[in-house]
Amino acid sequence: MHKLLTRRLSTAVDKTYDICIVGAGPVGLSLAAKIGNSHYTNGNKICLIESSDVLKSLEENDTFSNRVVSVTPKSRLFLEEIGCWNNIPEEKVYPYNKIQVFDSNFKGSINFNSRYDEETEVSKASTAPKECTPSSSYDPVAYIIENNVIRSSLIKTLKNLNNEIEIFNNTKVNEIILDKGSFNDEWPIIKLDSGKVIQARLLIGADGQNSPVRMAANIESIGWDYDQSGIVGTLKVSGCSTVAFQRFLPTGPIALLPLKDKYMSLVWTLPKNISNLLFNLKKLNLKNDKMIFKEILNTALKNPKEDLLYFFSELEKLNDGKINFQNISEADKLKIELELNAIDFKFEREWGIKRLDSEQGGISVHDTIPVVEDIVKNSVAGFPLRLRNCRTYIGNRIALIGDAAHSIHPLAGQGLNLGLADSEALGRVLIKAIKNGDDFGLDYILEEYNSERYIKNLLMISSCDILEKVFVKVPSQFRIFEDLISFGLNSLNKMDVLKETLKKYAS
Amino acid sequence: MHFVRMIKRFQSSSTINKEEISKFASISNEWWDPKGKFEMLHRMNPVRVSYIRSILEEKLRATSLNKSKPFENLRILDIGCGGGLLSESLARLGGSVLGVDAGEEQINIAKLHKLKNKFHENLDLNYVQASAEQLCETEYEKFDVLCGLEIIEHVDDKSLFLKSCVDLVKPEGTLFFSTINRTPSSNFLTIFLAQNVLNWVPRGTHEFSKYITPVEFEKELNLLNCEKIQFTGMIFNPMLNKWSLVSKSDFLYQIGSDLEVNYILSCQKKKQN
Repeated sequence: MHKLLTRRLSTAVDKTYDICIVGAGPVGLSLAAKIGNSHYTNGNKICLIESSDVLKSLEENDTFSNRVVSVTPKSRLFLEEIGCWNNIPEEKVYPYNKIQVFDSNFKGSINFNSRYDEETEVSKASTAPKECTPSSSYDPVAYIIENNVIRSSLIKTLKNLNNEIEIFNNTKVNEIILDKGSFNDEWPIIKLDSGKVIQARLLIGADGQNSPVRMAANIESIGWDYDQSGIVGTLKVSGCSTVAFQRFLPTGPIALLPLKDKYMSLVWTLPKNISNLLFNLKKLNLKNDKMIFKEILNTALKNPKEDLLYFFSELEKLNDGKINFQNISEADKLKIELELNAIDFKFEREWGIKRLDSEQGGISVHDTIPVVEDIVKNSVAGFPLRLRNCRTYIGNRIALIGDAAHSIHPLAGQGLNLGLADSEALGRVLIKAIKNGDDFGLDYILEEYNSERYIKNLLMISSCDILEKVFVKVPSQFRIFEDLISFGLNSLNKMDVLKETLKKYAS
Repeated sequence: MHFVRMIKRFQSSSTINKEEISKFASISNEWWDPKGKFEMLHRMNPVRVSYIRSILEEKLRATSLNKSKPFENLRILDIGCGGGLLSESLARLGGSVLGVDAGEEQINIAKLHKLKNKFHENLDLNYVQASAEQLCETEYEKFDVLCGLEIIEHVDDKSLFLKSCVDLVKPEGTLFFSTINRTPSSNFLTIFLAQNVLNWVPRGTHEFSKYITPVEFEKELNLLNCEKIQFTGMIFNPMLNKWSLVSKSDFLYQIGSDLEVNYILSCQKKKQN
């Protein structure tokens, strides 16, 4: 008989929805809030599926959780529009007004200021004492907010919507059945691990890099893995700062983002093998473990790049590939400990600083960068770096947003902001379609979202990749390139128009 | 279960046999394929609905308006409903819709598509095979709103058709029509380019001589005791593959060429005098 009819027979569906969002990260939540916040969408049934426990209290104690995000003013506008921004406690928002970018030799630098800051900077001059509270700027470069804080504020927002959103908490998606035969025959069927089977007019994947929705829809994700890892963490530093720092090193960029008081958030890109080694050493519970990490970190921030490369090569010597860290023998452990003790990390670092100071004739650029004093316990985490972009963000009755659609080099801290921009665009397109009584699952309706976001994301993804290639991948023997970079950064710093454009892209 | 129910419904609502169901299913798929033969119509639909919505919202402003179901409590007649593209959208916005088409095939396509979606959404939507004139003779009820979109250019006796339409509407009810102007540019764009060169619409869909100008249209409506609410141009942008309404700030409007090709209009039936 008719294909459609037989297929229906095979699955008993418990409930149907208009919109089903898989993944309750900030991106998925914000989309639910955007759609649920509109008067036009009343009566549309919306559900969210989340595999972890998103409803448990995410309120944090005093220490910072390791995941912080940099929210641009444009993303803030979106969070305001959906009614989430006001739910974020003011003391949990850390604005910064300036990013200082350095090259590896401290020869070139560029400052990105917020407009407000630029006007007042002259009067403040360099004599202004370092303050712990950010200047009351209404137009900062960005805001640092903990991931969990954004998430719990979004949950709070969802609870106050006029359109109720059903949350399947602690629920995994077991299977997604899509009608691949023809264009709009059947709505996607989602089987949950609770045994429930639901069906939706539109299935949205906000389910991260390894998106099950994307895989079910057979949408190809194109990209590559970098030979690098990212390390994030929360640091206690020497002085208070409301400035963000970024330094491009041949091994990858390192950035400090200001949190409150003397805390800063670390985003560090470094070779995969070094990062793995650092985490393996940490697991050994060596006596000096913390000190070593701190010294290497400070070297990466403030020393001539040769010092860091020296440390990295010494670390590489520790592991000649024979040591199995998963199952390490006492002898090997002792050997590593002895070898590590033979390197005087502190001395090498201090000597390097002295050398740099004398080279630069007393004007020490690196002085503006704070010194790491402590690393907040359990705040350090590592993750592999990859660049991915899907062939398309939509299919029939399918849409992908955030990391499910693309993932980006974290160098500019734009991952979440791109995701929020996806949410905004898709939400807007869907609300318009609902307003016109359209069957909004059809791909020609979703096309508007795809064409709007695809080019913009591609631009951002590729420019971050190009930045990475220019600043990181340049072989060290080509000094000329580095000098050109220094020259480039310095001249860029003087070209206000270009800087504004760059900043606009970054926000 | 669903299957049995579906067949039953189908049999009760029409006389076609089972083989014909699958035949209609494939034609229905073709009709409802947004990338198929009727792509232009699919892409035009959101623009038409947004126009109808804005006119009706303006008119019903006084009464409280439900934004998600703005057509609630409105009895709407969709003349020339084809596969039911517009009817479904109007019903989704809360309208109680009757879709009418003279073609048997079209009505069956529309019915089948409605049945498919009946599993998911409960729309107040029915279809009848009839012409406007036939409906006028048999239908005892009058409608709040009538839509005759992309239909009048296919009708031979336009005066009779419009008279029937007006007769089907309550006093102070609203009528919507959309069609193509009879101008050199419409001849070039809709017949030469869209039909003969680019094959955007099936060959033979339109005949230039059957097009009607806004002036003629308004004259006919005035004769039938209707007053115009608004005439608005619709324009297709091939670069964006998108239809849009011509707004007052658009260049085309300012040079007075907004109704040059496609246009949509609304009018109100006057109170009986």
